[in-house]
Amino acid sequence: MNSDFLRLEGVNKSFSGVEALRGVSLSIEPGKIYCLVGENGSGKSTLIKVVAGVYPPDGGDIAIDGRIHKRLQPIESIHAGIQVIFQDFSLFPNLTVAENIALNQEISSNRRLVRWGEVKRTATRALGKINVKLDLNALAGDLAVADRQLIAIAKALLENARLIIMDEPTTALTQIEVRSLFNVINRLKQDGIAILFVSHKLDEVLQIADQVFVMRNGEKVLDQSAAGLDRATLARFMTGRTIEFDESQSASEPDQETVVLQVRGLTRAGAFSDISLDLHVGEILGITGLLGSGRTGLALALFGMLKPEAGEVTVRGKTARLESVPRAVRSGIGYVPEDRLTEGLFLTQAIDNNLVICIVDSLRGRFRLLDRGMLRRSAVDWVNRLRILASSVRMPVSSLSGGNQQRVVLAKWLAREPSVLILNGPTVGVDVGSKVEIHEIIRELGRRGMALLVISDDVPELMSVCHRILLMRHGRIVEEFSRSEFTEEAINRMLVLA
Amino acid sequence: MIRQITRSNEFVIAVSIVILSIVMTIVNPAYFTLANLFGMFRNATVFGILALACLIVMISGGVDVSFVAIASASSYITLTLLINRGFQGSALVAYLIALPIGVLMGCINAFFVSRFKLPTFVVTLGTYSMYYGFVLFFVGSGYLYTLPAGISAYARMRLVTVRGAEVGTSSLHPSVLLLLGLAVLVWAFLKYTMIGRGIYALGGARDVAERTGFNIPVVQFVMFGLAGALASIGGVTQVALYRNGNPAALMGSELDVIAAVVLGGAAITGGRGTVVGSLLGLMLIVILKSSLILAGISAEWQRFVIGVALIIGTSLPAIRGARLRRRPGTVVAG
Repeated sequence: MNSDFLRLEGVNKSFSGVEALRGVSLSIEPGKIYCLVGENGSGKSTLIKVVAGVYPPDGGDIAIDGRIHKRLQPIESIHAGIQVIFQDFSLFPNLTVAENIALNQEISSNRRLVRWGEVKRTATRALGKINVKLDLNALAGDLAVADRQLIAIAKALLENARLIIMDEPTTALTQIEVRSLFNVINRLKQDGIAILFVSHKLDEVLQIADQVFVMRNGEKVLDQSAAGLDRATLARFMTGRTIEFDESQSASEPDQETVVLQVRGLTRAGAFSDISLDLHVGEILGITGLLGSGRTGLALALFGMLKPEAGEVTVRGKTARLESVPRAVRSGIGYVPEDRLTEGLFLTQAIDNNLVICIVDSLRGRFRLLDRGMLRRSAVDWVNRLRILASSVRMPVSSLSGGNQQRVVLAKWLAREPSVLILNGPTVGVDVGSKVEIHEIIRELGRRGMALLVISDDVPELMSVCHRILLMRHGRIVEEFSRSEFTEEAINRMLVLA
Repeated sequence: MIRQITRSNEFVIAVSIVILSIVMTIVNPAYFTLANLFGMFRNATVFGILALACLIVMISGGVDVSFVAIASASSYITLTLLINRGFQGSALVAYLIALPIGVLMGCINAFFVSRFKLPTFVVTLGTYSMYYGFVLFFVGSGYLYTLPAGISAYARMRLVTVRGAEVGTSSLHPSVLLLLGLAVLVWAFLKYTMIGRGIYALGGARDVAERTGFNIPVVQFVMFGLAGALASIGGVTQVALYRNGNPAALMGSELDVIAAVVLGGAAITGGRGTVVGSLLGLMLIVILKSSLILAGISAEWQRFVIGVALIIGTSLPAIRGARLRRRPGTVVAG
């Protein structure tokens, strides 16, 4: 026990009567990788902030190197070597890589003038520690998310980090980038740095962790070596109920006769080429591929946001000229974007206004003005049907949790009853419980005869909802897997062969 | 490296200036004369100094409109004071009196922006009226044509004089050097001081700047103070170049200056902008104006053309930015 770097003993924290942390104890040793999992609201964020000294705990001890801190201040936490990398990475998009890395040092050395030579040397040194080469003169905002993350890690190392806490570090990364990040993390581990990795993605957790902590309702419910754990166990502890990861439950067989969406030879130079596919009534078709494989471009083209140069699309036998979003919508195609927060919702608007936005024309009463009563009834109906947890349909969407927001986006499109619904990364940034429910919603839509195109790089997700999976590479469909051929290893292997 | 230069905004504007100059020389040979060049420098001097003031505030993420009011007010107050005292000495004294007035006015802006966390645009829209109204009410509103002897002497100073056959003599006023000196000073301030970097940081991501440990109020006071100082220098220079004092002399030209700074690549949302870019942007506007005159196009069209230039100039980076695809991350080997 003496080797612990950080130890929490019975830490409590409540906010205006709500207990966010209840008697949490845990210990962190140098050179080990810890994963902290839990659903939204389980207390993960509060725990991180207590360790970072942002929130003083109401009770319990925090010991760093055996020294007990009753009231840990943020600056003490940093001096002790605890570095938190938040999801925004705390970078300046308009400053160069070098300056972003070295700025903290420049400020803390209390200089009035900037030594640019020193800035570059410091940055090079820090990136060298994780064996990364980046263009020091590039602006941080121009870099890929993964690279910005590397900058944040390099910055943390300069502060003599001994424990690096990463909050959902893989959310915006592609599979290759995740693997690359894991290489960096393993290198840090070898240097004796402890890592606390907060994540929703159970596969990643099992892949990288030495030790796993599961939080639920403010309590630590599991603290176990990752070696003997599987996804189902983790999910059970996270949600407190048994979640089926059984992939065979996907329900009804699609109607192989009736083609809803037919795509022939769709091509756009630089994005995708010669794409042909058939989507049947009630079918859930998955499309996967690495970033740059053309999967998102294809989705955007089908929704009229990217103009194809050649090829033909028919919806229910009628040629669809997908030149613009309104045309695609009129042809019966719906699209739920990857980044639901920025693309699919008006966050500050009320839930009901968001729900009816696509059918607002049909809610007009006398004098062709909007009928508020009809709007309200329609919204309440959808809230109930999709089990959206909201105290009132008049609340702004921003007040909902991630999973419920995603359901609002779904409901918004369902209300329009499209023939084809394209879902791009439907569970990005959503916790396990909501994820399972969203999968169930997708299956339910299929059962009701809607044709769905699910685009995702989360292979297990596609395997659990889809009837068929198409693999894209360099803009082409290169492989098709039917349900009987689904094995994660096979598809992952195909993915990596890019 | 070469790509980095050719992609930069400054490069695009510089090329535009060169092309415009070549076209103008062909259209009207009077364009490519020292006389015309001196005239353009003269027009650019005061606006150039004001553009520096506008630039530093814009980098921090705020749009300052009060700098013209500070320039006019501080110089008019100074001039009134000097004339009432019967002062006849050096123009340097006028600069030295106007300077603290400008700094004070800048700090009043900083106070409201930092203490009450109000948007810069709203605060400076208020102080713009306030400073102007203050001068009209307490100081006066008349034109002052009889300048102190020292300032008149400064106004007549010449660096170079050329005698042209048709246009008579034209000359270069030493205040061009003042502009260049201030430009170097502001450039060095932005690039080499921690507070200068703080201005960029503030404009890039305010909350991160706070977390990183920048003292935001200090950054804001220094920045607005410096902007006020620059404005007052611009104001006194304006009095000397145009040989009269007038509390409304510069009022209304703030939009031209902001246009020049934006055209020069400064982001109106903050975080981006350079001294060289702003001065080039200003030169482009000055050259456009003078070209239109030389080409015999009416004054009404000048505003139209400048508007078109501004919109084309600011949409170019947006178009180029849209073409940048998301790049995949660096792959780190295990």
